[in-house]
Amino acid sequence: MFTYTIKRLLQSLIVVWAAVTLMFALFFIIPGDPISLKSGEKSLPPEILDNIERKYGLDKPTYVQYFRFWGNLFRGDLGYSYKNDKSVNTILHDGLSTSARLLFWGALFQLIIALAVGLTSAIKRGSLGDRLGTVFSVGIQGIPVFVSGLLAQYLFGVLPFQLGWDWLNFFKPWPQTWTLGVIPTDGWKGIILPALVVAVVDAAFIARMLRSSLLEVLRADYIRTAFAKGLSARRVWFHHALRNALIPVVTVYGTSLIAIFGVAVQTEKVFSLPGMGSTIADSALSQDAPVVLGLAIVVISFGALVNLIVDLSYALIDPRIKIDAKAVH
Amino acid sequence: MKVQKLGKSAAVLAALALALGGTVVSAQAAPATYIDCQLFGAGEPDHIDPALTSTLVGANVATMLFDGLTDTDANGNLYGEVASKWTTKDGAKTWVFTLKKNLKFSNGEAVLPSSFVNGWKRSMDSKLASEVAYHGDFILGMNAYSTGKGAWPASSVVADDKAMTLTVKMENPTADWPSIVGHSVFSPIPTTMIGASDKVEEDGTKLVGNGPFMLEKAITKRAGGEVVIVPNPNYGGKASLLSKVTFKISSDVNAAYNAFASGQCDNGPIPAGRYSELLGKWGTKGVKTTLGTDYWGFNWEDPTVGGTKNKYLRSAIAKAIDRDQISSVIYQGVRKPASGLLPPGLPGYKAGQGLTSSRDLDGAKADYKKWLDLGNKTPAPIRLSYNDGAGWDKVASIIIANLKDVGIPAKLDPFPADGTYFSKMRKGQGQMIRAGWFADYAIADNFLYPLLHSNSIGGDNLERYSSSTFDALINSARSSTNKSFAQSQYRRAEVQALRSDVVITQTVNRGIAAVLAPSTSVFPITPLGMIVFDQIVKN
Repeated sequence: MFTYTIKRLLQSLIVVWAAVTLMFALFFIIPGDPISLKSGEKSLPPEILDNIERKYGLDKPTYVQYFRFWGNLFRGDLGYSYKNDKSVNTILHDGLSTSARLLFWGALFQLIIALAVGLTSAIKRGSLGDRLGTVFSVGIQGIPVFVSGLLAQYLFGVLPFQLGWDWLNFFKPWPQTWTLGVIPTDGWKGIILPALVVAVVDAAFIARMLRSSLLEVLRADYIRTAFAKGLSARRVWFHHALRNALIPVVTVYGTSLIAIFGVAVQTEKVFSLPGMGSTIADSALSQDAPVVLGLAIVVISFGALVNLIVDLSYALIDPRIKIDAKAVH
Repeated sequence: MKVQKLGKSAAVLAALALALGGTVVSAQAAPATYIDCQLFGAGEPDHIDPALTSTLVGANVATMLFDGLTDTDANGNLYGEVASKWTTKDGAKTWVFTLKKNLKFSNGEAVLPSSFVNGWKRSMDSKLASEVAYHGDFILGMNAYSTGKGAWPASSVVADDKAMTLTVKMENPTADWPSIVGHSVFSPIPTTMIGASDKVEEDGTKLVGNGPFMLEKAITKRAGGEVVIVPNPNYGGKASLLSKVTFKISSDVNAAYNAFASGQCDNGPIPAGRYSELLGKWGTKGVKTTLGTDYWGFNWEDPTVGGTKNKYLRSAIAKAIDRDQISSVIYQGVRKPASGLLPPGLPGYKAGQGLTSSRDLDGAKADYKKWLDLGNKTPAPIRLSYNDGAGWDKVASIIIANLKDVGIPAKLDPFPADGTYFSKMRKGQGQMIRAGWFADYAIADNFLYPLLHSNSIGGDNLERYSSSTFDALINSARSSTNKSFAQSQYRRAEVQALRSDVVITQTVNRGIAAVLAPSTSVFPITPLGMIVFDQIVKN
């Protein structure tokens, strides 16, 4: 298990290096350059552009910039934004906490929704709840986040405000103060809509997955045996069926946590949250390479870490699954 | 049953949470504060440091934090802000500004002529690498300093703190210098900011100005962040009626509008295509025509549309364009049809300087026939070049339909939205070129010289237009201290380019449009597009 973990960690480091190198190369391949982008409608004199290039070290050959980037990275310095000269370290520090909170609440809401819908659909198969769950699952997945986000803002923000129903107005600023890292201490309403928008996209898919998995497990012989032994329905469903049905769902849930990052990019933009997602989107558009590369390192590392955790968690959920170090070798 | 129980529990929790949330929200409201969701509604500012900001929105906050020698009021009139008067000698080659006494920075330090020297020395420093440092090139020897090739031109900017005068020597006669020096890059700084880096704005205590407001805290220049300013207790002018202004930064215009419409802000931006609907709903108090013009230019070097031999084709196109349709369909009246390159409100503006300001279909057909009669054949579809992804395709589509009525074939020519459009146009890759300009300072020269003078080819003269007649008119206007003569030369130059040569044809004048909460009773905007936050009145 230890050897396997170390090996996977090393693999992850190589993935991070390769991905960041590829992105670094891409910034030199795609047309346009970040300094020219600054001039926009009004041209800047060449001497001013030279000043700016010197300031960011862009006057140096590409390979020098590349090695300087990694050199600085090892010293913990990710450089400065071309757009507003802000330290990428500061951007990461600020953005990471917002994104982590959004992911936490999004993942939690996702789990609650998926379990509620998936279980209801499976247990009450063919019922109105099951049919509604199916419609919800199929319908919600087809709606892009920028549509669902703006729709949520209108239905739970603009409309209630205009009608004077402030109790239904959930479109509020993102909380400024937190306790225990993730519990808002002011304006908790601000987390509801963004977290729900993040949650519902993959929650629908996970709910469908859970439903199928549960139905399959419920048809298994050992479930019939469990019922025949006289165990209560609750014990059979939750102790025997759900536990086994969760294995494929955990895989999907882990993958969806990575996918949530993609959803969070759009959600943070639609809700103007100061997270890493919106920063990545804005920085990529303005070819702000230091910010994109810095954030990419975090996102890719997060993806690699989640994959590792998912793999290791199999053994915890199902004791029949053991990571065999020898087999890995 | 279980689901029902869960539902009841959730309902109780939700009710409790709603009650708590409602309390928090109502506690946030306070009188005389102003929350702005409009200014940074489309994205984060680059900077709010006056030495560095190159965007209108960034400069808007900078002008609230710093007062320059001069400024332009909401009616477009130039007035002395820190300067009480100014005089020139040597044919506008030397300017002497006399400063008001007893003005202070927010930290209590006196605003002196040397404060301007310190400010300019910082903003033009090649190491700071400001994008707007080139505005200093009007000053003798400043270009060498700002490009790192020379020392600070001490003899060109001379401060006399006892006499409270600042003497500035110009590279060339510059009659418009009092207007130009109102740009935020020419702001003064206190001694505490000498040599301050480009990150000084991130510490609210270090970006110290002499304007009506000061930073309350460090700014967060990112979507979801905010910039908060409060009145400067040492301000020498009229105090603001607001006790605090919070600029919310959004990354999406629709979300910024929704934030306004759900009660989070006192104003908000208008998403594209919703001008009529939302201005009808919220009123037009936040609408103002500003000193900007959209136009289409003709590549002067293009064999089909360029040069003197194709003037009739260009005039046919100019006459065929339905500016009213562009104004009403695309901008729903917020951007008005333009009648020349110089916009209304600019000193020296004269209406009707363009070839035409309304559609003249018969004239267009007649001119097109004249062009064909000169031996030209129906051209290949004329390319309407524009930067994709910014909605210009809609304007171009209207023009293509307009041209079809005359029989002139045309097609869309989108360039990728990767920021390279203008550099490609500068190299002559366009045919009929989408362009626009917003004034840096309220003077005619700021439009005509960069956009059409042959010295600006490779820069903002996207059409690569070269006319010795036009150049001579501009050169004579620039060097004259006789205001009326200069004005007449600028007008003649505008006519030369737009009517005689038809190198560009204007479409609409730019404008600002914000939606305001009913509580905002006064919302002044200058023609340069600056919202005067210290004069906002909120009931």
